[in-house]
Amino acid sequence: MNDFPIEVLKHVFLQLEPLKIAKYRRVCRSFNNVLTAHPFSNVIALVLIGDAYGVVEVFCFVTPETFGKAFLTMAQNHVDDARCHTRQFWELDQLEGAGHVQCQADWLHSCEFSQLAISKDRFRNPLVDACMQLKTLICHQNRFSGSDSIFRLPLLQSAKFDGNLIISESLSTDKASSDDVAASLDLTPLNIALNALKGGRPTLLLSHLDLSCNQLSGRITTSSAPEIEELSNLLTLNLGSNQISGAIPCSISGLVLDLCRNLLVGRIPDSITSLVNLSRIVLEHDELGGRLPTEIGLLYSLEFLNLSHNRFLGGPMHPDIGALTKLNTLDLSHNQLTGTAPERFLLWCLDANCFSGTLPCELLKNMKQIKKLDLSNNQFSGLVHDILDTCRTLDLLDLSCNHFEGICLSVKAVGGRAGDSVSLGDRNRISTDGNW
Amino acid sequence: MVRITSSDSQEFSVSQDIACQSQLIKNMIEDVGDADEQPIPLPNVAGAILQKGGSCFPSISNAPKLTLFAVIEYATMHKDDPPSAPETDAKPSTSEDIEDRDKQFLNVDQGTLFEIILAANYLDMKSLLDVGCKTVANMIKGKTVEEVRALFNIVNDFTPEEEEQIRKENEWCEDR
Repeated sequence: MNDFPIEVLKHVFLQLEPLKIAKYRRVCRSFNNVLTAHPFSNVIALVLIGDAYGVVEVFCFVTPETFGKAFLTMAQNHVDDARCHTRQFWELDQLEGAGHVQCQADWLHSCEFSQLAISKDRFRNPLVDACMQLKTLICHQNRFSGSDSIFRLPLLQSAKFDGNLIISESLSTDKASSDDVAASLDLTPLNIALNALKGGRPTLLLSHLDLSCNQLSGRITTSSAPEIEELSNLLTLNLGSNQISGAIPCSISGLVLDLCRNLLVGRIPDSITSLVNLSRIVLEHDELGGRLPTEIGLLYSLEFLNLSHNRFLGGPMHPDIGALTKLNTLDLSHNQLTGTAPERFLLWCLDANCFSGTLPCELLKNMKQIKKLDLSNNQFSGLVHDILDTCRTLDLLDLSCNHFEGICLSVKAVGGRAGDSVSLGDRNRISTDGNW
Repeated sequence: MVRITSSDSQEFSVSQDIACQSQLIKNMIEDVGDADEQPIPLPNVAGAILQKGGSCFPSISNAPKLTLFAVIEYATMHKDDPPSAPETDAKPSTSEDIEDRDKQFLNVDQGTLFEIILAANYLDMKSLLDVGCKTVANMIKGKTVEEVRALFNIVNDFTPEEEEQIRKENEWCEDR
């Protein structure tokens, strides 16, 4: 058998379970040569840890080069943490030893797991071409640079690809057809998913797509209506922390609008109010401006609204915004908003604006869940004692750089938790007793 | 009919659809054109192999065992098979699923089996190569390194240092 040609030996080993062939490296040189070359160079390092450490079955990819004690320790810790993994769920989080996994494709054909998590590894190539059963794909913080194929999985419902190196060019199949090369990327809000449609196997079930923290660029334009309709299942599209420019299109849809940390300009389109199911609006750290559309107060499902670090102007805030009963987070800080502050929020972050007026202490009294109150760098006035008396559950209180006045009796007035962040005095007219 | 000759100059005459299960022969015929003129030489296919008594081919016991003969027998047996479906999304076959008639066909001594596999590889007969490799894989399955060496008469050609190195690298997968 020593004299078998390599391709025949390879053929023999291909018939065996990939998890169990690595040990035959030791038989003889020709075995070792075959088992350390393509396509086994990866398979050889496919470790079934579960057997070694007890109940759980966890599989990991490692290459012979990167295999070492450090890996095993990490893997063991990982298994210790794991609770209920079955073959339905593969998790390869934080295994530094992971190498390239492209040629796993053949082998993955035989797997039936529906969820794959390979977060925080160093994978470069999407390995998922063959995992046709996948419904959930979690690949954040790897080094994928983009491949259309990842979006051709017919059953895929949720894809998390944030923190990779995906760029627009590799995702945009028709960039060459555009007239203006400079703006040719034409990254429609749904372009990424639409490419999958063009690729033949529509991922029509895709409902959650997270492409934040990549290197997508280009402007968001509206694409033709029929294609958007085909993606009616898309509920979440997260494009935050990219280099997307242009304005927010009117035809945006879904339940979650996350375009934070991009280069977006213009105002929030009034049409946003037609999205009555919208639950999160995350637009922080863009270059958006103009007045806030008063109709935001009509988005009754809104739970999270972060518009901080933009250039929103004007005020007063529309009273309707106070009627958003589900809203639990409001961050309007670092804008140029004026007028009196909106009322009735559980979490206030209004610093670095030009809000003015006294605080509605009666309302504060009723908000037992308030955790964080940052009113700094505004023009609020009033007696600080009233505020402290009413906010006993705060983790963070920042009233600095306002026009508050009065006497602060003790730290205990502020929830009593020493070490929590409390900032009162700066540029206010507040005197304290000796306990500060 | 196609005429083929083994390395020891024995000539076989087989029908074209049987011969063409070998991709190699098929290509040759297509290249040459008229197949009747010249016998096709197959210098790499061993001719007669050791005669070991009746256990090798039940159907032709005590006959001289010829690799090419065996291969032809296999091809004849499978000539009516539907053309193998192109690789689809179906799961890859495992070493478990060998047809009974193939199992019986390959119930031969190791030397013959290896000759057949090598011939199948040379002749580019995918189905025979598959089934042969599966048979070998089944023999390897579950065995330790030492058992595999003994089974196939494999000489350990590593130096002790080299073997120790591999053993270290493979700590995770050695039998416990």
